[in-house]
Amino acid sequence: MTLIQADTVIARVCELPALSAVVMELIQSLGDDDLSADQLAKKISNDQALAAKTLRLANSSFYGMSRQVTSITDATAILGLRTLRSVAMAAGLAGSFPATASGGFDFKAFWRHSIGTALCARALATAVRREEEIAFTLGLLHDIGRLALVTAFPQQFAKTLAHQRANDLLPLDAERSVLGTDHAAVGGMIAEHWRFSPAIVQAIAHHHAPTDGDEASLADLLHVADNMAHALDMSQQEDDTVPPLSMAAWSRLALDEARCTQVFRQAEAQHESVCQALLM
Amino acid sequence: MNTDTPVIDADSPEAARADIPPTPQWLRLQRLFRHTLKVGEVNPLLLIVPQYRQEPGT
Repeated sequence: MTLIQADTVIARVCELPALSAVVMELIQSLGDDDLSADQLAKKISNDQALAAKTLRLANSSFYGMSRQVTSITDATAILGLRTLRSVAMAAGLAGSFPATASGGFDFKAFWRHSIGTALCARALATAVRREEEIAFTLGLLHDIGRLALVTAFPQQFAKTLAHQRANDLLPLDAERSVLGTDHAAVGGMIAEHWRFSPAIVQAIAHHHAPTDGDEASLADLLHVADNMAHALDMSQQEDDTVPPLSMAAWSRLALDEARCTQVFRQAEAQHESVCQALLM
Repeated sequence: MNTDTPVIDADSPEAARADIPPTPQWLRLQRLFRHTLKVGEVNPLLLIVPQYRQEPGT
């Protein structure tokens, strides 16, 4: 076993290529509607790569625009502040981690799953009347610990993947067995280090084991959305597997077949176009 | 890779469609849910997803 200590994780993550200042600001401003549309448009326009990707996504069938969006200012007016913020965050996150070869880690499958979870979370949020923008962002970020582990500890993570495949384990179990920690715990640490809101930190840290409570939490929503994205085979990774589902989280969300089917249809209808726009 | 076939419960969707030849989509669903089936966990998606995919026998 190659145990990874919490302080080592944080130290290594600090050395990683940082998320761009714009993306960090956008994530930290989630839920804050004081950010003006003009300020947002200026921030995005100052980062050419981010602006280009944002426009590509805004013009994809995901948003079903009737005319071509040609500038970020246009996009702000047409999409609105919240939607543009989530589009720009998605574009920024997908471009922030270099897809370097590492022990068989499939970056494309990783992002296909993250985007699928984001779309399921967004559709679930609509169904259970929660904040859609935060749900979408959480879906994109939920496995950030996995991305950090593969980038910061490539050799140890390659051993984890080999152990997982040789024994057909769940990723979480393989990580705990080889590294002594797992991607949910690491993701929570990173989100805290990046000063994301406590609700986002909690949801990422507990997305495989939502804590008990009477009311549905963001962690519940993220947990079920992650399970759905695996069940719908959105990563298209040959050895993908559906992780255990918390029936307590499922019950708190009060889901039934009709609602699930609605979520599946909505998420699947958008998945390919968002993947194409973000992963080009 | 360990790809042991999980034990199928008599009340499971697999048993309900025992006489129907498996489609590639059905085999893929079984592969995705292999850990759920192996340990006999409860997961409503195991019923809902095949119905959504309109698998015969579901």
